[in-house]
Amino acid sequence: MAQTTEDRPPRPGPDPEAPQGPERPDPAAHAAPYPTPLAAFLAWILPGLGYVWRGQVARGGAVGGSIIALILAGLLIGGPDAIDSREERWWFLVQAGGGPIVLALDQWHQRILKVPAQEGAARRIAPHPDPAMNPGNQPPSFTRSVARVNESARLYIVIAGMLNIIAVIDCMAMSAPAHRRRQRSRS
Amino acid sequence: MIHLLNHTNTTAPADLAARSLAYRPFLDPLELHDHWFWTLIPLLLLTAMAYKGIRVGEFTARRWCAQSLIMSLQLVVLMAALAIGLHAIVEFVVPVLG
Repeated sequence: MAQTTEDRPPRPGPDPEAPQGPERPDPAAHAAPYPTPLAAFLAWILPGLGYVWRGQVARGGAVGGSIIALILAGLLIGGPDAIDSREERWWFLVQAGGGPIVLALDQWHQRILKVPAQEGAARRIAPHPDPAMNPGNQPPSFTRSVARVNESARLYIVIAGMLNIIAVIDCMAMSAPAHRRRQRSRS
Repeated sequence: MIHLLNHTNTTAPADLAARSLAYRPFLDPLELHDHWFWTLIPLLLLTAMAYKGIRVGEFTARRWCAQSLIMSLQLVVLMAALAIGLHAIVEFVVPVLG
């Protein structure tokens, strides 16, 4: 005997009337997901800016402030060596998720802080403190970080890059700002 | 390469030594080689703050702070447990096997 639709037991699934915990995403913000590449682009340009553009200023400030604090803390712990696109290329690819701030810090490191090595050397390195190795007596523009301090500093900025990539994806997947939604619903 | 390797081991003149001893924020690394693991605490806290900023539902400062603190504590406890477990393996299990 065939069951009718009314005879079937209700399908197991989330109860729409169940109370939502604090971990559940805001349904209003996630209800109408469609790609917003501009929000994603803004989120990469400056951490948190994508949320601000979407109208979530407090969230943007929290996310952006935390990610920028991670970058600055890494730079404070390890110095400019924490970001090095030439000598630590693979780490840098992940760090670049932090946006133009990281790219600018790398250019500052490569083009300003490092000086050309002896002729014929492939890499640009910091001036040597020994006059025998540094005939021009150039002061060291920065101190290289080594070992665990360098690894820890690099990890700070790698995690900042990965978290900003998550924020970029989140901004792209969520709905557009409220005023744009209203404009679309009117038209 | 020798140039790089000798960088930290040479006897520099006094003025250069004094100049190198003067700490310049963001240009010189912090002297944390013996205490590097303390850098994990702010790392975990800032990671939790950024992640919970993305993940928390209805964003309020109070909820964000509370959830960030809880996640930080969870991460610290988890990493401490992992460290203790790995230490036990290295100190007690590996010698028995070896």
